[in-house]
Amino acid sequence: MRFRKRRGNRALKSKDAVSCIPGELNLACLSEGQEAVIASVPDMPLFPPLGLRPGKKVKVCAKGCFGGPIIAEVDRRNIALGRCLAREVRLHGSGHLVSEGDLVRPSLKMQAKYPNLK
Amino acid sequence: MKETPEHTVLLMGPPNVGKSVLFNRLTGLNVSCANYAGTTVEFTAGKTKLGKTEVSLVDVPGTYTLEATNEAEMVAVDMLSGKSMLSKSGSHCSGSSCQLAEIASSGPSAVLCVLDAGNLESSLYLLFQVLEYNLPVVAALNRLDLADEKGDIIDTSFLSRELGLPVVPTVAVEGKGFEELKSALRSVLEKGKSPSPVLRIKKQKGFLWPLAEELAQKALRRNFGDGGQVWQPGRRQKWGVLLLRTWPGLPLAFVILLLTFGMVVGLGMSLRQYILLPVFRGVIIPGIMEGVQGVVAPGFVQNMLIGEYGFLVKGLEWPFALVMPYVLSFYFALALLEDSGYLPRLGGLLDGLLNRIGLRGSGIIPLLLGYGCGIPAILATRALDSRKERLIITTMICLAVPCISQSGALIALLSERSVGLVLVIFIFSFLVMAAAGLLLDRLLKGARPPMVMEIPELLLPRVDVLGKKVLMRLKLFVMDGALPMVGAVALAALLFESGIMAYLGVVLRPLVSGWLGLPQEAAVPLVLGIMRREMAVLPLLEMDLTLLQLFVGAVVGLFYVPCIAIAATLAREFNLSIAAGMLLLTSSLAFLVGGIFFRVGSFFL
Repeated sequence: MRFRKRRGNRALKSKDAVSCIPGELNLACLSEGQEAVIASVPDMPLFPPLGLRPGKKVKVCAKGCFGGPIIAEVDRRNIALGRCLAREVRLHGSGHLVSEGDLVRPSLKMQAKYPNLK
Repeated sequence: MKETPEHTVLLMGPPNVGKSVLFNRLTGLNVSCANYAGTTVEFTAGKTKLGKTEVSLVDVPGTYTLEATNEAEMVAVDMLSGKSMLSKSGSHCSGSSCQLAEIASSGPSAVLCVLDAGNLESSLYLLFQVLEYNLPVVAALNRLDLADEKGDIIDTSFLSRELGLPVVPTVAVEGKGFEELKSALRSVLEKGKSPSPVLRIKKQKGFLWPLAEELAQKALRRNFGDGGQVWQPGRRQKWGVLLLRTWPGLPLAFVILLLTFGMVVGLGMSLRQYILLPVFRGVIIPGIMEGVQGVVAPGFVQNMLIGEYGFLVKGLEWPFALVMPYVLSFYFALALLEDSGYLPRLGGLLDGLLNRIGLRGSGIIPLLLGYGCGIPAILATRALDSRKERLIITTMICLAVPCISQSGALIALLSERSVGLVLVIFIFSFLVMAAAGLLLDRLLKGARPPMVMEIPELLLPRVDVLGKKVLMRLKLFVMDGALPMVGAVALAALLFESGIMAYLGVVLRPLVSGWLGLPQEAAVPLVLGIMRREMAVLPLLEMDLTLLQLFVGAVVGLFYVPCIAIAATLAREFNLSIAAGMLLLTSSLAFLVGGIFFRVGSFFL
């Protein structure tokens, strides 16, 4: 198994790195094209009808520039979510393969910090 | 004999599912539709014939749930419970439909719930919530063409059996399934509600999501063709995502906006220059002049009709040869952006940047609408869920977003010297908007809620829908824009011919000539500009101004008070003090900036 190197690692600096505590994966940690399964969502009335419910598979389609929103795909719909909200969408798994070719894993920096992550 | 329909049917469903398209098809009215959530922010009532009986149909703002998270959704919940329709009808119904809405105040007799074939689960969840209100319900399964394209097959008879209510497949934009829908509605209205689904839902209360998921799963057959088990996104979907990414989305956004600006200005200018102006100046106006000169003796009355501000001359030329071409080109461009679903993408892209000036990406939609007319733009801010954001956007619109009539006037005024000046004015207005946003973001209390917005699918705009939309806007412009403009020109003629204008010029001289450096007669646009935004600019066309005076006049006109209709809208949507404050802010800023420009400009020039 090879880890695919992505530009995403560059996005994982500053704020994102803080939010990506190992073992607690959230939506803001994923890079463009990665997907995972939702574990929990913040209590907002808009979330469930937009498909953001535990157990749903979610994919990050795009990450907004200048700290813009995460564009997530759930059930083939695109939802724009502010970064701070995206951080509250917790995902299952951390560092394991979710779908072919795409990997959810911490950045190299995070791995250096937490060696047990591999 | 005119009968009032005895039944009221509410048209409900999730946002952007096509309720308004359905409504227009059923009633023959023309409410606005677009490809993003939150187009309908107020209810509109219309009549439709179901066989022999006539029912009134009410187009309700879209709701994801009945938990009412913003003002638009609250309207929907109120209407469903039938309690506050009467009290709210003054503020939420549009135009001539007020009467109908009041008739409907006795409470709805049935609900036509529109389901989205692309998001069956969420639609079913909303349907369950609607069923809790104990009303007869018919479901229309809309947007089947899009589901079909993705290889989804939905078993409507299964849904209908399980839910115990008619589920009719429709494709609203193509008018498919309407006869079936009408007959289902008729039979439901005759029979009254069937108790079975309601009972089942009550038993299952609290488990609505699992129930919706289960039902959706059972009804859905996915057929991915030869692509196997995984859904392959098509070219439209791929571009839909690419446009959202920083690369290539952001540079493309810049190109698209520039093209839009170019299209509006270019198309408008060429329509005016090559078609309308020759027709008006060569045929219509000389004809009128000759006719009037033959009938009316020279003097006050003749001058009123065909003099300097003669309303048969300027009153026809300004609205129809000067503003109308831009109305056409702007609404054509806007319709393209709206129907393709690009606007929410732009909002998503620019959200990060807009955050810096106290806005969220979704604010871009009312702002862009404001370049057409401020009133629908201010109404559209209802779809935003914080008052602070509504206020910031409203201020920006009142201050620095010229409506299309004013833009047309500005372009006509400035482009005669140089098209570059037009661009300078618009860029300057962006800067002022950003500054206003920065300032208000700090001044106003209240947090900015983080963005949650559905990005609709990228669609190819349909030519027939585009044509209809532009035609509707044109009709609206003639009724609500051009006719008042003729009236304003008539008033100008009266002021001019009666000598009041000269008197006003003397009174306002310290401000107009002393502070702004404009000729004395420029007091006229300042007075007329209170009534209509473009009238703050148009009379300047008739004066022989220097380049600096042109620019100062344009700047003052741009920032000057929004029209009287906007002031009324502000008072209704917010309150009187906000309306008064806005008038004070805009006029003082206009004079301040104009004066500074004059001083700085005359120093250099």
